[in-house]
Amino acid sequence: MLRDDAVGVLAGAGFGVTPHVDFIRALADRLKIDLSATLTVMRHLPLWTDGPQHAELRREVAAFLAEDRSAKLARATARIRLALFRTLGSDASEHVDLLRMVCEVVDLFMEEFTGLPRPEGDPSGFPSIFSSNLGVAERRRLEVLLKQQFAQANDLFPDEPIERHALRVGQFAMGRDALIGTLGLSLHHHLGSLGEDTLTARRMPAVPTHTGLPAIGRMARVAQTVAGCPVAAGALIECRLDSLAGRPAAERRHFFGSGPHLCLGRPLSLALWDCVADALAELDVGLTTTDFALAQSDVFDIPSVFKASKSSVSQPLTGDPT
Amino acid sequence: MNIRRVVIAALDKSVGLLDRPSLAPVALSGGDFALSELDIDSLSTYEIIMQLEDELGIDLPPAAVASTTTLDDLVDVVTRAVEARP
Repeated sequence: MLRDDAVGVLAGAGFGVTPHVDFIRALADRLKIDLSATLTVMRHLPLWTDGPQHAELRREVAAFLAEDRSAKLARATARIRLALFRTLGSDASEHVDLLRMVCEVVDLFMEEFTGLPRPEGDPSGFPSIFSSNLGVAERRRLEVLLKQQFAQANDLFPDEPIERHALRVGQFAMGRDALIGTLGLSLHHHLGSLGEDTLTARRMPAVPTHTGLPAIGRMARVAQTVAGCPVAAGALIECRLDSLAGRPAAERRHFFGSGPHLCLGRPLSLALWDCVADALAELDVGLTTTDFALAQSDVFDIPSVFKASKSSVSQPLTGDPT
Repeated sequence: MNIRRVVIAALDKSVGLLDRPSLAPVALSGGDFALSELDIDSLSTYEIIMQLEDELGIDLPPAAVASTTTLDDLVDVVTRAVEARP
């Protein structure tokens, strides 16, 4: 389903979430493997729930994301500016690893808003909890990673219940995958549009222009017709959000999904984009992408390689937000 | 290591390949057959994946397994995963 049809499906009541959580629970039972952390996180992400449970969970997540938002945003902004200026404002290197920079920016953002430290290790090696294409070995590795994050949440917030820890871990996992893909793709396209110009020539659009979440799956609650095609009850379909890529500001809302599952992190994402766009616009640096590739994933379009050559810096930059 | 033998053992453990009179002789004599004859459901697929991963020390994405239609296809996919093992 593309564009308006996709938005209509997401906004309407005729489709529900796919039964992925039920499948993972059945998988754990059948294989007799421990996926308890994975399942706990999944059950605390609104995107995998429907009905009253979904509404309650959305309220909890919205309240969680709103807590001390201004202070968290201010801290995140300062740290992200420093990271961007450290990477791009130095003339020490002619080549920059923009994937590493994007990952650092997103991790700093997620650290402030979830209170959890970023997982150690190569970010590209983290299995995605959203993937349907993880074998058993990768599911076990994901489980270990999530258990480590639960342990960190317990160390840092010992008085909180596990449900609250699950919110933190779940938001970190979801925000990280979505933002790295979307920021990486949007920055890649922005650099392409700049050509030989420096970053000061034109501010990066303050909203994402290309999504890291190309498609959202939905299951038909009843038999119906969509875009002229019959869809049987229980049938799975894909709503292609990437078909909105590059369209004007009118699509800002739709880009974050639509209807009851509209992305709760949307205001935070826009704040992150503002922060990154502001910082980049101060950098009198030319960046030319030299290597870019997307990871093979069934859910998120996340760059696996994103490198650029850099022109010289005309003035010393500190990243000091004052 | 005889990867074909490991694959047959995984299929036997999960969906009883060697209990099927029409397929067991074919499998054991090096022949090929359609995996659809084994009625492998989605959870069985993961059982097979787990056995192959544990036995061979590999990662096997479900999509790669789902793309196979015959025993020989599956052996090829597993062989490539073994060769790609770090």
